[in-house]
Amino acid sequence: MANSQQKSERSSKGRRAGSRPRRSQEEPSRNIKGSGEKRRAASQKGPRTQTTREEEGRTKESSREVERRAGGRDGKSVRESRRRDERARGKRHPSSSVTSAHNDQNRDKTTPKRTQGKRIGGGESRQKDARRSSSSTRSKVTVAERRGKGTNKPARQRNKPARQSDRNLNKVDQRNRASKLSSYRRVGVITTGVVLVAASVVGLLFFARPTTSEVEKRTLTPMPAFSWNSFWSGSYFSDLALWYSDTYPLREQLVSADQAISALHGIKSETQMIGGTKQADELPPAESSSDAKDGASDSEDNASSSTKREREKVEVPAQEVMAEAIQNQVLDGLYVKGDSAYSIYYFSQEAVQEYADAMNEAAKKLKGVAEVYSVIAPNSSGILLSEKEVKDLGGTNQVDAIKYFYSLYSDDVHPVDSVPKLQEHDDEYIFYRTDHHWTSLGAYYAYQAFCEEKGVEAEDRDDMKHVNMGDFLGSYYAQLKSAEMQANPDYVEAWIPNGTNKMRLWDQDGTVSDDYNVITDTSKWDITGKTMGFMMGDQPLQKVENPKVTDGSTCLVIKDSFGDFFAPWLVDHYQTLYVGDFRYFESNIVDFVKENKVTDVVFCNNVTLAGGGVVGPAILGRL
Amino acid sequence: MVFSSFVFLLVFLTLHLIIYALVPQRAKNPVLLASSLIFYAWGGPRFLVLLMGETAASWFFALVIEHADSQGKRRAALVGECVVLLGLLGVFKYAGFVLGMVQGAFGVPAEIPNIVLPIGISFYTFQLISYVCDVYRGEVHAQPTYWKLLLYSSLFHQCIAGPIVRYKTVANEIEHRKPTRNEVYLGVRRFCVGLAKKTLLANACAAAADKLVPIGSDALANQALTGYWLGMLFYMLQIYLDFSAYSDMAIGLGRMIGFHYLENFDHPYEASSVQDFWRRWHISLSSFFRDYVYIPLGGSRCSTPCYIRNMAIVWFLTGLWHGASWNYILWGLYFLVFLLLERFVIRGHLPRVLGHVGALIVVYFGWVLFRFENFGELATVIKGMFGAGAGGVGSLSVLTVFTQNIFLIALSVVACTSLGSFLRKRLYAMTRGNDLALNAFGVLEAVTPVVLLALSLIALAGASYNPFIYFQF
Repeated sequence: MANSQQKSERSSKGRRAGSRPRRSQEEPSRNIKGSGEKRRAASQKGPRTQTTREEEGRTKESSREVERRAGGRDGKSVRESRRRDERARGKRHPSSSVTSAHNDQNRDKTTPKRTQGKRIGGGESRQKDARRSSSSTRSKVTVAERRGKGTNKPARQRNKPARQSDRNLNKVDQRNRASKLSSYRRVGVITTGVVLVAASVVGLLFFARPTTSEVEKRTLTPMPAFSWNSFWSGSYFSDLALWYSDTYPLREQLVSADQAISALHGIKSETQMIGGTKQADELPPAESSSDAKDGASDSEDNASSSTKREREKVEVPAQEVMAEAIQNQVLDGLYVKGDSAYSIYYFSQEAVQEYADAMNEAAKKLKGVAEVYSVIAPNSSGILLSEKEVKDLGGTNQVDAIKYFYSLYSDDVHPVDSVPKLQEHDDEYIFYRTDHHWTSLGAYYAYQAFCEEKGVEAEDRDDMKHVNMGDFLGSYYAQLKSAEMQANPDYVEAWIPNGTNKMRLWDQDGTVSDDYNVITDTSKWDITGKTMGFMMGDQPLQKVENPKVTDGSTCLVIKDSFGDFFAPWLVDHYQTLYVGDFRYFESNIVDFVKENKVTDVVFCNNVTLAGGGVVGPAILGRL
Repeated sequence: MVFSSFVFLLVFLTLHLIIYALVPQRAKNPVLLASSLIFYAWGGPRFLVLLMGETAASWFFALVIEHADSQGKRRAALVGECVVLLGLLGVFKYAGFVLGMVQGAFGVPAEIPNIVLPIGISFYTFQLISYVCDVYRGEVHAQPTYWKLLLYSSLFHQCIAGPIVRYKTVANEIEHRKPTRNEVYLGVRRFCVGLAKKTLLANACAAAADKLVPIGSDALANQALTGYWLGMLFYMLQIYLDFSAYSDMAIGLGRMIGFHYLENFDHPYEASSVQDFWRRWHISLSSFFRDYVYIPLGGSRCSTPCYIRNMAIVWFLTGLWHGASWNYILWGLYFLVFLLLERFVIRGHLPRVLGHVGALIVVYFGWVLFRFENFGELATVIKGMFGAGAGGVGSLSVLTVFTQNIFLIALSVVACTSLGSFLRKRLYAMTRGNDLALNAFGVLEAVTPVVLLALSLIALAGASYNPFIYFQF
């Protein structure tokens, strides 16, 4: 309503300025235009010239020279009047309909603002304030109105009824409304300011800034060190901004609030697929893969020479690169069913070949020195989901894929086939639902398969001390923040080796300590960090010396995080057990084996990582 | 520094507004200038030299034009301005692109220098050119004080992401401005609306688009047909919400302290034709090309071939302005085709509904061209959209993204329309003589900015959530 009042005020002003004659001058040009589009554009000129007139009326400067001197705003009206003159002389409008419409629009938008600009500082009553308040909506509405159905009608006619009702408007009511709104708006500005300042003050609480995030399991961005170089290029500032937001004191609370809000973006269906737009390579059929194996052993010289050629180039990828690649591999292609998630495996011919090359190369170099075992750990999806389910999701059958891995190995590599054992026990708790790892029990069945391959008796887990560390939420939960998972978390159980539970650990800073255990009771730890209790997680090197074995047997396990659950089972079989994570292990594997008189080397990797193109080069680079 | 960041909102903006509010009137411009220079320097102080240099050149040429006694001198100064500014823009923005083409054709030069694009150069170059052109045309007086012109060109509200504000729009307000209380409110609200649009909607749409149609990833080729369409829908929503959010924030920041920048967007997805779309999309850019290229070339007031030539030049340049890559040029020329089609073939004979749908479809495919600089990826997506891709028709993965974002899509679509301002207007109309409605409206007015700000801060913090699944410490 205030809109129409304003409009009528404007048009009446226009009339007062005495611009009627000009309007009639414009009529002919409107008639000239033919097509609908043009007619519309022409009719839009009505209000436009009105507003210009209004300005002219107010400034009372009719001479072009004076207007030009008056500066910025009036410059436009100079051009405008020039154009109008041209039109009056019968010339066609210089711009096309595109551009003239553009003009209209800009002017529509600016007019209310200009009027405001003029009024500012005039010390006017609140009433006018309120009218101005809706100017933004008004300008849009008038544009839409004009663009709408009744475009052929002159704008003036349409204003008429509105103007009459405006006259009846109770001015007292109008003033009251405006003052009331104005006080509400003041409250709005003040509260906004208070929130902004409060949030800034929180940002100043440097002592409360965290350096690590428990939830995200990462070190937060540190404050950048100043250097002229980074200052000049601007990277110092972008790092500073990153540090500021990453270590903001209330960040974790805000993050969880955001996750609650983001959950409102849509409906969480019972079954979901996160990512996984990958194309798995076709898995070669079993016959041909046995050919490949034969081929590999027949033309061993050829194969090894080709790997040697590549070896020249192979360098261990940077740790961060590996970490990121692995995170992406594990968490892209997540199939979610209620409170369980499954990582889908996509076969890649090249990556699998690379891993097999690494195994073959290791066995070749260690021939006569140590036995080489390879444990490929499947994902839960490979054991617990049906073949059809995996196929429909575009994934590769892991049972076949692991067979294919092993088919590429030379005879010097001992493949440890854990799959049949796991399948046999698929109704037991062998995989976590909220995490991508197998459980200690799952690893136990793989260990049984290892013992079969090695020809020794597996320990009975019932003879060991069993620990239950309580509820656990893993990587899938961290990624999905699923409420179902939170309501029904996993639990962590472990068996402590009979021989010893003591462990020496070399961490990434190079510090050595004997204060660690093979199995640490983490029941009091954060719910998301409990699997740290197995071998203290992924480390450059751990060493376990078992006093109950004295035959000098020594084993080196090169593994990813799946190996953390597997390695504890080996403690009772060796006098010395070395465990190194392929990402952080710094020595050359062959040298290490020779120096430490290692008898067995076990490579334990998850199928996604082993077939993901990162582990193969990392191992090859350390041979 | 981008507006949608903690450091801008909680350090820069808060400090700036407090200081600005406390200093006396005569110190307000110096504070604004200092803030703007700090803001600009945040992206790398070395480019501040460029900004100040370009401003100095424009300041000089404008004064020459103003005081020249002959038309020749005036023209020479204008040419000088264009050569200097467009030359610098060419070097910093297009040199790599052009050298790449030269290398492709002739094999020289052997190495293409890697030139970093100075932040906002496309925007402030055009602002300064429009200023000098306006002085040349006598539409505005040259600014005799260098730092006032620097304030115009470096003003942090619009310096790095538009809109392209004309000098004549703000000439008076640089000297005299005093916002009323109500204007401050409107500015604050506009800023918060823009911020929320960016952080709550645009960022979420961007995340979904990147999931479905990622740039530079093998996954792009394996997407399902529906995945491409949905991904591009997210991108279409993202690009409008993102861009118009920046304009909203700029307009709001200006309004808080008494500047009135022109609107840059007018609900472009409500357009009834392609031509109408360009009246509503990035208005400050299309009006720049109209006023400084199209009309000086003769506009439509010439023969048909000449008109087509003018349009082709304008749309080639519009495309090129968006980035130094062929796909942007193609994108500009793509619109040229449809604009000419509308002018010479359709001529407004299409029913309104069809026109609207048609415009949306044209714009939608325009964004496909706009998104992929790599023509291989572009071809993959277009093939995939029409069933010639590797990924089949649908997948659980696409369905998951869709159901998980269904309300986001609805809300974003509504945010692209004028429904919000329409409802607000209706509500205001109801407040006449109705105290309850008035109070409800008042409360709504009061809580809108603060709620949007709080939600935006939450969303910004959430965007930094980056879980690392392997233990790092």
